[in-house]
Parts: sequence; structure tokens; C-alpha cells
Amino acid sequence: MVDSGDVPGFKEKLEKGMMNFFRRVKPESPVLRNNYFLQVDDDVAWSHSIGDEDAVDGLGWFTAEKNKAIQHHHFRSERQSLRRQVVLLNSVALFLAGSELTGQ
Amino acid sequence: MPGRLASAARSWGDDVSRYQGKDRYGEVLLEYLDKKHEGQVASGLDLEKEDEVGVYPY
Repeated sequence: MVDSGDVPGFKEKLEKGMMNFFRRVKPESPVLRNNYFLQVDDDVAWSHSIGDEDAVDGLGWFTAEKNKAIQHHHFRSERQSLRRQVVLLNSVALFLAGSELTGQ
Repeated sequence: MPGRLASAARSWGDDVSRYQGKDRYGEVLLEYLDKKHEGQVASGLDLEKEDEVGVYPY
């Protein structure tokens, strides 16, 4: 889910630290974290309680029904990894022995 | 676990609460978690031990 609008406190508190952080991430050490959320439905790909995934407006927690009974609540945990890629040039060399070339 | 999740949800600041949509489900959730926590405590949950076991991620 991509947030629209500004992240609160980004320029004042987050930007400098985040830029340094991204600069220091090494290709051999991916960043791992676990995020958790509550949602009031059991949709795995997209929680439809907050609106349609492609909605332009009406998207957000204000759309979700308030105080749904506890059996609708789900705890969502996401394991996320961020890996810096290096540019890879893969050459696969295929060697055929002489006899294979001629089919003998 | 219910005690820890309730405590975590209660610790959310305004920004986080808004992002997590706490206002839409917080009452129901906390009432449920508190009840479950009390049940565990009544069944002999050792609260000090709780901090050592079940460290997240598992």
C-alpha cells in the first residue's frame, strides 16, 4: 500500500537519516524487518475494509466500518527485506565437446 | 501475547494511531485483549517470564 500525501515529519526528522541509511546498505547485507498491522477483514493481498485498491478517493481507515466485532480482526505480520543489487553480467558459457557438435 | 499487543497498541502516538486506524477498531480490540490477558494471568501467567519468551520475530 503506497501512502498518498506527505509522510508526517519526513523533511524535519526522517529525510537525512533515511538518505544516510540507504547509502550505507550493502549488497551482501539485506535489511530485514517485521511490520505488524491490524486489519478488520481477512484479505491477504489488500484489506478491502479501507477501500478499493485502485480507488482514487475514499481510501483510508475512515472508510472502514467502526468497531467491527473481534472475530473480524486479523493481525498481519509482514517480513520485509530490502536488498541493494549490484549490476550483474551473467555469461553462461556452453561448451560442447567435438563429438556432440557433429552428433557422432 | 494479548497483554503485549494491548500494551503496544496503547503506546502508539498520534501519527502511528492514525496510520494504523486505531480509532476504527481500538475499543473492540483492547476490550478483547484485556479480557484475554486477565484470563491468562488468572491461569497463572508469569509476567516476568513473559519478557524473555516469545521474542519477536520467532
